[in-house]
Amino acid sequence: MKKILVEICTGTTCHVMGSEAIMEIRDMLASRFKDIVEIKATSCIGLCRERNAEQAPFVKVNGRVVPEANLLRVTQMINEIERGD
Amino acid sequence: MLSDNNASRIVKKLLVETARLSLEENLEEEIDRLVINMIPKNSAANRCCVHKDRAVIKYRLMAILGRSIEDEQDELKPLSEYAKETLNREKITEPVLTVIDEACSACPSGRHFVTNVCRGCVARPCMVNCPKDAIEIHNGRAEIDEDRCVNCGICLKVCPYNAIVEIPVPCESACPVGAISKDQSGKEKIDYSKCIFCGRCMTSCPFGAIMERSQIIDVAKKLAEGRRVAALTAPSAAGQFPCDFKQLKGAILKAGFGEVLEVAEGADITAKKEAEEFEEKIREGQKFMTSSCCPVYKEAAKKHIPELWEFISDTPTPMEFAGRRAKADSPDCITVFIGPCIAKRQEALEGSSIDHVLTCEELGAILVAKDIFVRETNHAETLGSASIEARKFAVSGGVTNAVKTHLSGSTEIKPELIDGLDKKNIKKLSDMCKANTDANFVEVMNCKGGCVGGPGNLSSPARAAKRIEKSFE
Repeated sequence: MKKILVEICTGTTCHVMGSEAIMEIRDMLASRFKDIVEIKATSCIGLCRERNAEQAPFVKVNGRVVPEANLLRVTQMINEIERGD
Repeated sequence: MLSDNNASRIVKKLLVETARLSLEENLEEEIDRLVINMIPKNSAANRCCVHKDRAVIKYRLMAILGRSIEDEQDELKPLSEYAKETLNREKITEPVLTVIDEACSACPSGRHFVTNVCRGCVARPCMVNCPKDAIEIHNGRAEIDEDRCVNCGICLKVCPYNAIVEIPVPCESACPVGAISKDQSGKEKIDYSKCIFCGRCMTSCPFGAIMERSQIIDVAKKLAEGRRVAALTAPSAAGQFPCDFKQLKGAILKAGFGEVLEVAEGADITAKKEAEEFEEKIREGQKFMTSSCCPVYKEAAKKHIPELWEFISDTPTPMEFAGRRAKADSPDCITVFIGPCIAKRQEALEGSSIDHVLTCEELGAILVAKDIFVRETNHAETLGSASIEARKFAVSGGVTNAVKTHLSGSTEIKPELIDGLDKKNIKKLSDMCKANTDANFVEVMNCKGGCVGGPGNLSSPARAAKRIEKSFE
């Protein structure tokens, strides 16, 4: 299966609003995702500037934006992409 | 452990917004509207309705403006008036924490409860072993008669299905010194004659009902006015942002601070003096000496373990030395300590070298408000001259290692580490005074892992420690 890319923004806004907690997602994923999910910390992806900073932290999963990201929301997005939604 | 949750995110959003308004010198005009902006008319309510949510936001903003919610006289007084008073204030007042009674959910206290995991077994160990005859079986399931129950917990221990739970009051369970308890209305109240300002009640309350009285507006105002403000960064602050220290220093300068001084330079002086003091005191026959840089620990000794007081080092803290140096270099400058600690606010109030204390979270809010992206900021030209040992003061064991480097060798050091000041460790420290102990130097850190585990931090202790290591390797 094609890899699923999780990009976690580490810009100041996202960091302050809690993006670092999402880095722990590697340990929380179901074992079937172990080899297919790639987790990457990125520099500011600029979404807080484009959109409302209140929606930080931002995470991108295969390019799809997850605003107000937390472990649950990111995991749900990974599941959606796996299902092909 | 990271404490990312919805309650802390709401506070951080408010910190960012108030810092932004303050830096734009628009706080007084706009702060009342901020409540509505945060909770618009048709938003989904966290509590019973948007009106209650708005009321809680108003009180949160009062705490961010540095006010005690307990002092409210007139419920109609708008935030703009509180903002005006904050902008005009010269002095910070005690206490450093405040309880938002409107947000407190008056959690039922220490009750035991039978969950639906109960199978109504034949053995019925809960019923048989209850000393107060408080358990009966109804519809094939155990039930606890609250009037008879004395919360001894025997039923919980004997149930083979773990079907009985004890419902805690999170803030009361977290407090290691019993300083927070219910008033007549069931809401929590802090007894400041017992409080050690560790901040555990604040981080453990799921309703975010306990807050610090922030000084972010005082600092933002002085930055906006272009006053000479010196940032004194605690050793642990170096690990709190996704960048190295030189870059963080660059970001703080960009935010308008006139200079950035490392409190680690003060830690070098503390370590040297503490080493001399240790050798002298042990030579004179003192049983042991403890470190003195953790203000929570000192507060705990003062209020709860008075017999320990004589064993605490007299050496001033790194913050104090760094503050003195900043004031000596530039007497007119405003000194702002930046770290993870709530009790440093109390320490600053009692001393004279630090004007304001910001948490790393509040510094983060100022950087966001100023649109400063730390990873894109230019590195500061100089790093500072602190030793690597002083820079690691913030990680448990760091103080001992720094003191060791300054020992003359005349006295053998037998160190012990108290990593986290919980009820057990408070008792242990008290026992050390009375009984014999193998250790002669005791490092005490209130937060587990050291200051990197402080309540006002942005990063997990492990990540922060790794960053500090990398920044200064």
